[in-house]
Amino acid sequence: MSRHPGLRGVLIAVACAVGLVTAGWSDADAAGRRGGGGGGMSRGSPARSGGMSSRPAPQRPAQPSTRQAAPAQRPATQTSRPTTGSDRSAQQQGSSADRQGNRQENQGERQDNRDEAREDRQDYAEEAREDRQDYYDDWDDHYYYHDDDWAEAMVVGVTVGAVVAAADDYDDDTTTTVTNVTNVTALASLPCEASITVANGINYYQCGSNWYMRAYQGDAVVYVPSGPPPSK
Amino acid sequence: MIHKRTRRLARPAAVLAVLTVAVAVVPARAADPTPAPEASAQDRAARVLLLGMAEFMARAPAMSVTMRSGYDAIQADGRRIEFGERRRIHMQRPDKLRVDVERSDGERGTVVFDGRWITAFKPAENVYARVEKPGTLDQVLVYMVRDLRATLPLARMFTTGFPVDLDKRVTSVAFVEECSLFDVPTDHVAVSSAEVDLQLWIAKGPQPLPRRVVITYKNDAGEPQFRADLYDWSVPAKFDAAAFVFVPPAGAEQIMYLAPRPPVDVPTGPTGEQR
Repeated sequence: MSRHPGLRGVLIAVACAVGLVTAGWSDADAAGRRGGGGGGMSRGSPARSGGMSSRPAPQRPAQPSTRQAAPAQRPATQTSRPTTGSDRSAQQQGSSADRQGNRQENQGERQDNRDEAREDRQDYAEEAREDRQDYYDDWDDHYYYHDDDWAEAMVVGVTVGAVVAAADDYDDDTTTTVTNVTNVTALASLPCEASITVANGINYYQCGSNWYMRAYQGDAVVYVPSGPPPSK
Repeated sequence: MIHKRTRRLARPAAVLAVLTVAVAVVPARAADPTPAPEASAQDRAARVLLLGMAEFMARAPAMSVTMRSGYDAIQADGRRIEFGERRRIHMQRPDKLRVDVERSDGERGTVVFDGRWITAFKPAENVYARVEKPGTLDQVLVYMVRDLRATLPLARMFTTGFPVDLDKRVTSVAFVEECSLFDVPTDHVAVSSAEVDLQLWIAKGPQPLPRRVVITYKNDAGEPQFRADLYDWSVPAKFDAAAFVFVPPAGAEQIMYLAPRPPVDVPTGPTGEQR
């Protein structure tokens, strides 16, 4: 990488393009090739992973499920926190006499509110700890047992050739670890009969004005939006 | 099982429900003369067998095994369909792994961990993806299953923490019978945890390795099962250094490795993974 300092910028730019361009997730089971058997049967199953912990995922049809689902429920237990702030603000807009007269009462309310907020925070922290403990202890559960339970993904490993292919003399074996998380939305299958353009050993799939590259997700090859091949 | 989060959210209602049930049940229980069965000596011995198997696997410096597995996929119309896979697993502690898999539809794949890089290869497409993850085999198995959502059945069984995990999770162990249908005599043991029912056929003798595993996901719709026969065990196994080195075939395309985005409140894993 140090031999080609400018390539890093190219890499990041194309990686960002990958992250910015998103497309819908096609049903993995309908795709047949990866999600289902030849007869259209779904391979998805909580038993597939042979895990020894089990946390039932939502039954289909369901919105794409993520582990964020549980934290999203937390605001229900946190409602006193923003309310506390707004109450206090409202009280501070009262007259001076009111403030004087109500100071003791307000102090008491604030104390109550603080106590309540502290308890909420403690509850929240305790739940967060328990969630983390679940997450760690149940690492082999089957929460994402449908391939499309996590359409929203991030690049965790290495990105290569395709995104640095602008340098003709670049060594294809040289790779670069992506340290910045690049979010992508992957497709189990291409949305069209794509035409393929090979550039520097990388296959680019074109559907209309959209370009895709292959990526590896779970146990399958998927497609992620990309920019056009370097020569385009 | 009611999920823990659900339980927390419904805590007051749950307490009320428990009290209600307790009031309703107490008179009936008082009239019920049947005491809870205590573990028999045979069942206590079965627990020793179970943990002995786990300890033996945890201590093995290197092992290889073939796993022929199947699992139920409950279809939308309720039908129970079995899909199968066969894996050849090579592992060498502390930090080497290779798994070659063939699915029942013919799709093949290979995953290699060389101590630093996890590489996933799909020969049909001639593509591979790599992620750098230096660490122990235990750490990488957790990372692959939890973070990369790789399908590595019975992965927990191949960690050094398996005996502790098992001891913590198991709520009962029962001895079923001695089974003579394998190439070696085995003890058939039935194990329960709050989340799954587990059956193991454990080889008798100095190498108490599992020859068959059946897991029933009793809390999931349709109670699907995972079943695996494990054979061609080699413990301790000896490997060539090349066994854990991935060399891309000619013309192979390197592609990106994707993972689901982690929970927002889990910044760092206990095994030290940085996200």
